[in-house]
Amino acid sequence: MKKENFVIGLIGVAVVFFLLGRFSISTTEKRKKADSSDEIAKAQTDAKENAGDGAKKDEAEEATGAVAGKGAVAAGANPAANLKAAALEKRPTPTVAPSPPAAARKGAGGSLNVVVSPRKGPETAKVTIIEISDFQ
Amino acid sequence: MAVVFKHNPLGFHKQAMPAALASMAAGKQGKFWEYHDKMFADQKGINPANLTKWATELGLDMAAFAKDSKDGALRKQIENEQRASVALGQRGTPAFLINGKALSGAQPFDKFKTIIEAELKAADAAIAGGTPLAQVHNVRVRANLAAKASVYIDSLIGGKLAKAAPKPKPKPRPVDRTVWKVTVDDHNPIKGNKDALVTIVEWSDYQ
Repeated sequence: MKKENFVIGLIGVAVVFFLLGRFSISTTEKRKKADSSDEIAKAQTDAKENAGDGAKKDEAEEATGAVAGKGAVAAGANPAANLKAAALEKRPTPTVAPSPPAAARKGAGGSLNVVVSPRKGPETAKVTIIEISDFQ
Repeated sequence: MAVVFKHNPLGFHKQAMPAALASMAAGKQGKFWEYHDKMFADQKGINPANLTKWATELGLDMAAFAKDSKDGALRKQIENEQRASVALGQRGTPAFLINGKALSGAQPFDKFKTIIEAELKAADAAIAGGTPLAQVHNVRVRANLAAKASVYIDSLIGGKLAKAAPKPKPKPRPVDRTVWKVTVDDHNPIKGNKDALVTIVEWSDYQ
């Protein structure tokens, strides 16, 4: 009877150690994945911010590439992280839509005057009377 | 001196908007003031038939006049001028802004004269102080209208869309809970029985 209890106890301890080991491994992997994703996301943000600027664009592309590579290194043997990094390398550099030309912007909030308001007298008069009226 | 005309076709003047549009259509052919004079010479005669007749009398291109009289962009311009006028506190017609100084309603000549002379003096002082002639109007408008100057300059001069003025909230009237006893005397004109179960007391005038 005592021998049976001893065996059951041994099995229980082994199970506990096994579970602890699994938990420890998965936490480390998760942390590595998170680090890698954060760096990639940061690089994407930087690239977006710099995309409009020609000079900075190249730096952003370099940063994206460098960190994608770093992500692969950091992930080490993690195949998911490697796939993600490879996909990022293939993805085109994000670009910001060019802002509309100045003329178009002016049109959006521009003048409503289809006809210049009827005027008598010079534009540079010392006194201008604006008459607001209807005809009825 | 300069006079600039802006529209404020009041809603309860049914012919005011068609008349404003017709005047702008005439203005596109360089005949605004002539058309303006015809309408003010016969204000009571403003109707669709006369709007066409006056345009014909002025020798306007009638096809263009008819098309422009229905032009949505002209209507938008008129409505914007109307909104700007309300935003500047000028709800009735006619209203005048003399370098931004308001004069409402049909006023005697002397009132105009007083303001115009004061503004000429102020304009001369501004010029003497180094203000370029082209800037005098803006400077005087800012002095006379203060916070509302941007509405004037943007909407009435720049033609930008004026914001609609917020409608004033009606103040709630205090409820008078007094109970009045209405006596019906022998000297009151009465129809029916003095001891009727229901008596209607009518207050009225004859106009």
